[in-house]
Amino acid sequence: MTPTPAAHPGRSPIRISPLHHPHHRPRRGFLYTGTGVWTVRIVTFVALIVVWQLYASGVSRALFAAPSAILESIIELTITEATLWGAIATSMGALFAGFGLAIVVGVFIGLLMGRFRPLELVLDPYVSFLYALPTIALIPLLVIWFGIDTQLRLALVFLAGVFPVIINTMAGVKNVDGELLDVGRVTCASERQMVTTIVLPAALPFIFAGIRVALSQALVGVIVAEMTAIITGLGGMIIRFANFFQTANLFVPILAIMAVSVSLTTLLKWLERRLMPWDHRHLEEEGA
Amino acid sequence: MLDIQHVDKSFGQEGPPVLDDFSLAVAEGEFVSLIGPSGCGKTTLLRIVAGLLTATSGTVAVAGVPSLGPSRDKAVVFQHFNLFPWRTALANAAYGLEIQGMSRAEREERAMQWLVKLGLERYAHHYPGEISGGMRQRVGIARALVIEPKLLLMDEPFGALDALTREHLQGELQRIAESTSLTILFVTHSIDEAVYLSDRVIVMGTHPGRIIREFQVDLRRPRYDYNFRAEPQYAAIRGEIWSLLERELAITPDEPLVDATAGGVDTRS
Repeated sequence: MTPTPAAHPGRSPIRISPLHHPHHRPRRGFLYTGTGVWTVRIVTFVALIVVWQLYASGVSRALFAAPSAILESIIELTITEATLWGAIATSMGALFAGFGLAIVVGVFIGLLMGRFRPLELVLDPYVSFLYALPTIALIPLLVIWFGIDTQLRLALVFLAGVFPVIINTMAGVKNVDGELLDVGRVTCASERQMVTTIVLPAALPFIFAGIRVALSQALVGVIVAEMTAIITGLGGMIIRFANFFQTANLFVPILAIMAVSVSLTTLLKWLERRLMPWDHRHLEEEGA
Repeated sequence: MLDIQHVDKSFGQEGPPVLDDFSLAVAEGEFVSLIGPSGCGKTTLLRIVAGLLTATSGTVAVAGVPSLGPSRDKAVVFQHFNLFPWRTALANAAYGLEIQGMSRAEREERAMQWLVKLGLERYAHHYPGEISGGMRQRVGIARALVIEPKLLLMDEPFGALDALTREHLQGELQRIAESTSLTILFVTHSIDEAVYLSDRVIVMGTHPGRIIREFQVDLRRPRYDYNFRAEPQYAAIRGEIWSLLERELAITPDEPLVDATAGGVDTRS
């Protein structure tokens, strides 16, 4: 601690403590540099793997898998047998179509509900209750209606995604700054022009928040359906390996789901930055 | 050009009157300022003229035609700029023409002309979040003028700016007003600004909002190239307006603002 002037009356009272000096920059250690962060991460990761490997060598292969065994499984499933790619394709197949449909329909309904109060009054209870219901509870019902083929995946992804998108779009539409709407009104913009030039761009951050929630819900829905009903794709792989206690293999689809999820989230972030350059630049400016 | 006849306005069924029998005629090319304490209804009046609010009774006519809502012969410059953060300065300025259905090339060319006039050509492709408050309001002014309105409504346009920027933009507004036959209705809190810019200053009182007195300002134009504050007329008008407003403020300190009690509809005047 730097002695304060009050504690040492003999010293000049106008001495500024280095912490409060206007040109003072807090000294940042190794952990705040780029290399520092990565050094720490890599060292701890390697340590983790080593401990894991040592522990696993004393346990049955059926109950626990060593990192070396998992690596073998990865090579087998991606290169030698290469069955992982087909599973990923199956799992993701209907995802984009169902998800695209959920976004288009969700934004449209959310927009109408946000702009027309009567429609909101009628639809809001249904939307709220269906949003609150975990979509996976509907899987058996959907199997009865749609079978276990592409239609089921489509319905599942759509139902998981559409409600978060509706609710967030509606919130965004109702949140549009009234002063910006005034600009449209004094400019004699039509309702369609109000929506396309003001309401939608203003609601875009909310819509993206909805899409992010929808994405994770849809992934959960697909994987659970594959594990419980369809037994194909990544979820089906997990169940089959688990049933045969192929523990090392079991880790591969799990890692693949992680990778898919991270890639889709990254893609979404990239899209967000592309579609909302003003937001991004603003944040950068504040951070500087 | 602008004819306001017996306008009354109250918010809600039982709300107290915000404006009571307000009448004002503004000639073509005239610059008229409305000044008064908070809650005198000056912003409410501007919003009625703009077509953003409807009067409880009374009429507003622009160029002899009854004004029943927003129209293309009127444009508004807002206190908080109200630029679209997702549009560049150029796209913001071109907004009115875009709504009218003009082609992109043509509207951007016209918007660019105004940005150049206002010294913003280097910032045409910047987003509002990247430029200063003064520049943002220049874009706001360009957006209003690009549709070539007959009547320009300005709601405390420089109220959110620092003193130096404010003075600079006041000078620029005078230049623009001189080069066109624009009729301007200007709401302000600043006596200095009102006298500097206006041909006529309307002093308003509260409870209900009404005209107390109006002042003709005959100071030589343009006023930006000499020290108008040194003129005896400036000091005289300024002193009189101040004593009127001081009296208004003295009557009302404990009473709630009319606008603020009217369901929070309009608290900005």
